[in-house]
Amino acid sequence: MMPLLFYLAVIFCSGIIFAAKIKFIFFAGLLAAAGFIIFSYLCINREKFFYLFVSLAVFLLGALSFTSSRVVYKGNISNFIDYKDDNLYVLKGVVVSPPDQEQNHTTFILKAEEITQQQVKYSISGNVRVVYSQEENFSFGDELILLGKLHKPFGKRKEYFFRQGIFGILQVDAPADNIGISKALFLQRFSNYLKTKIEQKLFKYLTGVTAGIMDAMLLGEKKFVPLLLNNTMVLTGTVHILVVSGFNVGIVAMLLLLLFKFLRFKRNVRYFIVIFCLIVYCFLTGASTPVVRATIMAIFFLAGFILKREPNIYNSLGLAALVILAVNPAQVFDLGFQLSFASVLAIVFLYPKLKSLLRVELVNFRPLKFMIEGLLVSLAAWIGTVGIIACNFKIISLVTVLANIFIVPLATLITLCGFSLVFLGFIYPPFAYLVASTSEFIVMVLVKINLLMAQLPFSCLFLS
Amino acid sequence: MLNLTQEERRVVVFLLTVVLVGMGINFCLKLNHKVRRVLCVDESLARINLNQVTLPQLLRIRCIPKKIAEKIIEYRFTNGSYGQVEELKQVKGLGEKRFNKLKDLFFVK
Repeated sequence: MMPLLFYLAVIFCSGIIFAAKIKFIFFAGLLAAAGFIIFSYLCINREKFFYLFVSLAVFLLGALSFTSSRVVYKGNISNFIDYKDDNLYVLKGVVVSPPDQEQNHTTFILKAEEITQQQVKYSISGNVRVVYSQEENFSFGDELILLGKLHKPFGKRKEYFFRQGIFGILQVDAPADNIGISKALFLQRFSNYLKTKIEQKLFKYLTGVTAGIMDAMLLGEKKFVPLLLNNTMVLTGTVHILVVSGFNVGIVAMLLLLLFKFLRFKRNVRYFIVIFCLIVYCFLTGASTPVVRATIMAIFFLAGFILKREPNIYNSLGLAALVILAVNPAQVFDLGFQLSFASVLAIVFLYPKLKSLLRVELVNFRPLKFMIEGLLVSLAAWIGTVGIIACNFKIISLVTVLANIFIVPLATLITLCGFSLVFLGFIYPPFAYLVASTSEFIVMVLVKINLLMAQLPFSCLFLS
Repeated sequence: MLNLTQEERRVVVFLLTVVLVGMGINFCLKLNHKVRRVLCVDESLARINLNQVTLPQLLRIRCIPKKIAEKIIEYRFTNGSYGQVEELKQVKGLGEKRFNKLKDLFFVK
């Protein structure tokens, strides 16, 4: 019997994909879904019919949620602007993403509240991507008044921006008017404050390249990772270590549980605090799809421990998918969503089968057994994602499985060292310098192995 | 006594090992500064030497189109080796925007 939440997630996704491919009439679908729900209630004692009607209802709910998400409110900013527009607009809104300062400009997402068009003010909604032509120290939650050219996203990235909930691009050359009121939630402000402090610690104790890699692995901030390194990791199929995902969330959960155990917190209290900390960590790392997925799955497992119920990994995966898609159904077409879920599903499904096929339990030599198991996890993840990567990036990395045998354990060590470094940086700095030296060495080994793997003959195939 | 699980004991051992290895590395660095190249990340690992890079190497970098890669190599053959990374601006087809994106990729030696 398929786990319930996983099954519902698959049906829900199918409904979304169905609505995306054909012209789906919302009200007809709504009536049909209502009918199926009524039938499922009437057939509550007849198992097969009950599941059939529930499946159809969930399928239609997926289709309805996607169709509804494509329609914007009347007051959405996209109804006030055009694709090519030379007019200047005054936009008032709140910064809802950590500002990204690059050379000579700053980019961030602004939640629009008010637009002034031909000296008339309108209350509006919707997010806008702002490209501010100077380096400015905006903060998450700042309320700003901006003057600039505003247009709808167009071209290849139009669909990507729509999926992210971004309805306009604002080019700002004039100085911004910072009203100075932070409208961010306490949790968001606290997460950003903590992220800034952690980044300061990393860049204090580590050199440029190491700090950049550590920043990506711990906080999901890839902008300081050297371009060459990022490119090499794409070629070897190991770039996933630079993305905060379940691996990092698992380490955070483990370290926090250990810390609270040392502090003699009671078992259930430890679990509740760790759940809260994982939510903070999710916000801290930008709440990307892999992190949200991993956080929900971790909370699911911890809740299982609290309730003394055995957690099911398929149900936790299904729940994570349903939560993400309920908020934004278009995420099913997002590459990050696809890769995140495909890799976890492939590992969960294929790894036990590969393990029993190769009879790994018969291997007595523990280091060899550990290596083989690592290889099989890597192979399972590669099988699950190779198709998606080939279609989108036109590249097949043939050295991924071999590279991951070395890179993943090193990435584990780097992540552990990174968290230890940050912790000691706050508690006892003299030890932090020692941990930093070890981190530098391990990162050096990782970079060299990665470069070596990329230089192997036939390490990757380019499909275009 | 703390009742630690096996995983928790491993974490304690890990932390002790990391501190010990860090002490060893720091001590080696104090003895001989040249050891830094072996024990620490060199910035040159994250960059390519503009005067030694080959066309196949450039083509493997995803943000460099084929024509630009060929022009970079052609410039080197025509004008001799690059004196500094800023000379990339002289390469035809390599505008200010692309130069700003690529300049951190290279060093000149």
